[in-house]
Order: sequence, then C-alpha cells, then structure tokens
Amino acid sequence: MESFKFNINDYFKLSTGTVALVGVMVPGDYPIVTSEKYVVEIKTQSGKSLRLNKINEDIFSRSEPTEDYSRRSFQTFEDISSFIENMAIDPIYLQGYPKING
Amino acid sequence: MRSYGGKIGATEGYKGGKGIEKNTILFRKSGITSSSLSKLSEPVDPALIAKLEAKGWKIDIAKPGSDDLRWLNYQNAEACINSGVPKHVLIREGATKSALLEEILHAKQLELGLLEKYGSYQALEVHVKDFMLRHAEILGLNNKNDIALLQRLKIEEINRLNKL
Repeated sequence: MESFKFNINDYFKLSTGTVALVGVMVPGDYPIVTSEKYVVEIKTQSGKSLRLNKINEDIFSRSEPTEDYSRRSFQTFEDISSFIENMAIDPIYLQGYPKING
Repeated sequence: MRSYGGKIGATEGYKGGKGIEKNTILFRKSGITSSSLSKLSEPVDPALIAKLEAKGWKIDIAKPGSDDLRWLNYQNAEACINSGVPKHVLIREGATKSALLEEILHAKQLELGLLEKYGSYQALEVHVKDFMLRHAEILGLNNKNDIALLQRLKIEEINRLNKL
C-alpha cells in the first residue's frame, strides 16, 4: 500500500499529556492510521525527523465539513516539542507507511 | 462527540432507526435547532462525574484559556474522547449530561469493535444517538429536552451519513 503525508496545520497540548495534531491527509481517503499497523515519522521541511512509536489517529476528530476526509487529527504521547515549537518557520508533517506484517 | 451544529463524516454501515422523515418535518416547522435544545438540556451532575471516576474514568473540565478548550472549540464539540488515552473524557464547563454519556458510549463502541462493524465514525455517531434514545431510561435521561436534543442530533447525523 502507498505511503501517506499528513501536513500539520496546528497543535494542541492537552491536559492528558498528549499532543493533538491537526492537518490535511494526502491522499484524503487514506485508511485510519495506528502505530500498531503503521510506521509513522514526524518530519520538518528542513530535514529533521523522528520516528513516533506512540501515535494514533483520533477518529472522532474528522469533524469539519469537507468534501472528503482529508482534514484529520492525530494524538501522540511522545515529546515532539522541538518540532511543533518551530513549525511556523520550519513546517512539519507526518509521513508513514504500513508495517510489513501490520 | 457532541457537536453544536455540524459534522460531516463518512459513508456507510449503520443506517439509523425509523420515523426519521416525520421527525425532520416536525423540527423544521418548529425552528428548533440542536444548539437551542442544548441550552435547555440537563447539565452534567458532579455526582455522575464522581460515579464515573469511581469506575476508573477520568473526566477533565476544560479550563478557560487552555489548549483543552481550544481543542473543543476547534472541533465545535461539547465533549470528546480520544483514542490515545483510555477512559478519558474532556468536557466543557456546563456540558450536558447526555454529552458526557455519549462520550462514554463512544469509548465502549471502540472497545466492542463497532467501528469495524459499521464502517465509519459517522455511522457510530448515528448508532450512539439511536442507542441513547432506546435506552434513555436506563441512562437516566429523563429530561424531555435531552430527548428532543438527541432526536434532533440523530437526524442531523443521519443526514450527514446519507450525504456521503
């Protein structure tokens, strides 16, 4: 199966300890992503990257009216401060693909 | 998730119950909206929160100025669960009892694998409202405005489901 790219537009540091990431999924009809079944990395446009072992799609957050399902959300417990704090000057995105035995 | 006005979601699976056309006409004629009904619904009782917490749930009320509240605003929601933190619900101050119960039931839906069964989260939105209406008495939803709100929201969710 093909890989996905999730362009991150905003983030929310929730009191649960998770960071919610919202943005646009390409391709828009990509299946629900979980860290059990997918390899997911957070990347900056400048080339920095980090593999995220604890990240899941928040399925009830596909909420805003759109023509397709491309606006989606992920939540992670991992420390991604160094990525999100500079996202205004160095845009960030998630990139992933299915695990072979996932 | 209890939205104030609108969410558009996915495709197939659960199709809802009977009598939808009749109810839609009644609501259209009366000018009632889910937002106006929400203001009349029963708010969350601290005793209910205490009961849920005794059963292992964590219920957080979003504080003004917090990212929690910004998150609920972003989603246009009164309450939400997330898939990353088991048995956790985030609610607004003054959220309705039915909104909190709905989130608990969404968690149960995921636990029971109903997403796979019904095929989309939008179908789960319809299913949960239908379930709550059928089991309103057991859930302690005895306020007529709560019931009216759930009926209204169920119709809205079915319409979203059918648009796709």
